[in-house]
Amino acid sequence: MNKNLLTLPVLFGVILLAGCNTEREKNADRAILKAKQQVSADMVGWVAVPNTAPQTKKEGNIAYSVLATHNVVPETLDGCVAINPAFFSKLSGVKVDVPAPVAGEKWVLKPEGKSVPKDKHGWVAVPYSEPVIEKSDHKKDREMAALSTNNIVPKEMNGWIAVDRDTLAKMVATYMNSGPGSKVSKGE
Amino acid sequence: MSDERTEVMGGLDPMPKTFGQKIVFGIPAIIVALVLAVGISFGILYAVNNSTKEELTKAYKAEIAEEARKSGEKFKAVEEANAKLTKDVATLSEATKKLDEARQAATAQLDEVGKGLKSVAEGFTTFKSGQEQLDATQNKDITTTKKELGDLDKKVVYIENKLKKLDELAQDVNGLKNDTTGLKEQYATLRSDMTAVSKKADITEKDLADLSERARLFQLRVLAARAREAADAARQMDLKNLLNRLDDVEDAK
Repeated sequence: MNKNLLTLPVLFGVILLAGCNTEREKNADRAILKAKQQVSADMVGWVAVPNTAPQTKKEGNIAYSVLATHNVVPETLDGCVAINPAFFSKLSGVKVDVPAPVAGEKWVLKPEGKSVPKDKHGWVAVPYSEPVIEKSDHKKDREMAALSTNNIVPKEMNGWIAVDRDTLAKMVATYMNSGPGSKVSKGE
Repeated sequence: MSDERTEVMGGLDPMPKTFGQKIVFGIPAIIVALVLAVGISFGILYAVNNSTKEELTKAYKAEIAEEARKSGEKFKAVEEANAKLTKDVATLSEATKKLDEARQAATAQLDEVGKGLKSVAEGFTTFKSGQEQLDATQNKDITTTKKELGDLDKKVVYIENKLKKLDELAQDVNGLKNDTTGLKEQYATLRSDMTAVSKKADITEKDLADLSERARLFQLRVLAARAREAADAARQMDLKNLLNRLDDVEDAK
């Protein structure tokens, strides 16, 4: 009888501790952090940022998302292309407002067992990855980056515009065929 | 010797002779010697003097003769110069005479030249008038020619600019990854035709209009090919190629 009485609190404690570890979402490499959770072994080295998403907008027949610093790229933007605002405006003729830069920092999950601070409650943790920026060889203001799910938007890409490939293809074709990029002059 | 003295003085010891006594006996000989020495010296001096005198006389005579010879030569030269001068004076007089004659002839000719000049001045006025008319005609012709040349230059420059633009487009064509064989053939033909026209002496407006239209169509085809490839690159996420194609596009001014 006494032995059973001792076993119960131990089991309760084990269950309690197991519930305190950080957990990834189902079938996804991401986790929503809760205060006091402890960093689990498989998430050591991940990076947590405030849980914010890019704003989606539409102008004419062009749908686009405005990226902000430390946004985590959602699945809906996987395979899209991000373009710097000035270049996007040049290609599409759409004027965009660049969001104010965010002063927050990234939080790295380490070491194993470390408690999540209170102010990081609700943040989203993902394996650390950033989009790779491609620049034009001749015109440095022309930059693009391919986006993948869970990429963290770096500070340099604050205000960049994400569009899907088809939209980008149409935009570019229009720009080069009949837009400012066509440059065919009958008056010459 | 002492015996002789004893005898002369009668038995007394004779007094020794003084130095003066002793020298008295030598005086005549000394005098004779002096006289002889003076005589000989005189003789020698006389002989030397005579010899010197002769030599000096001889030298003096030679110098006199030399002077005389030189004077003679100088005199001869002066005579010759004098003769020449006389001859020159005669020549000069003759020349002066001729000059006077020439002056008179020149005066006569000057009168004739004055008459001729008057005639020339009249002729020049006529010539100037004619020349001004000729100049005006020539200037007009030059202006016309210049204008024609200027027009031709402009046309050649126009074609050269077109060729330059065409070459830039051809570079874009070379950068395309799609099949551009047709575009390259069109470029070669168009360029060849443009070069041929630019070498013509009389490029017409029609030539230029034709070339311009063909160049514009070619440019449109290149732009379309470029845009198509850029769109394909966007769909395939080939961002490097997409940026390269967009680099081909000049910024709209």
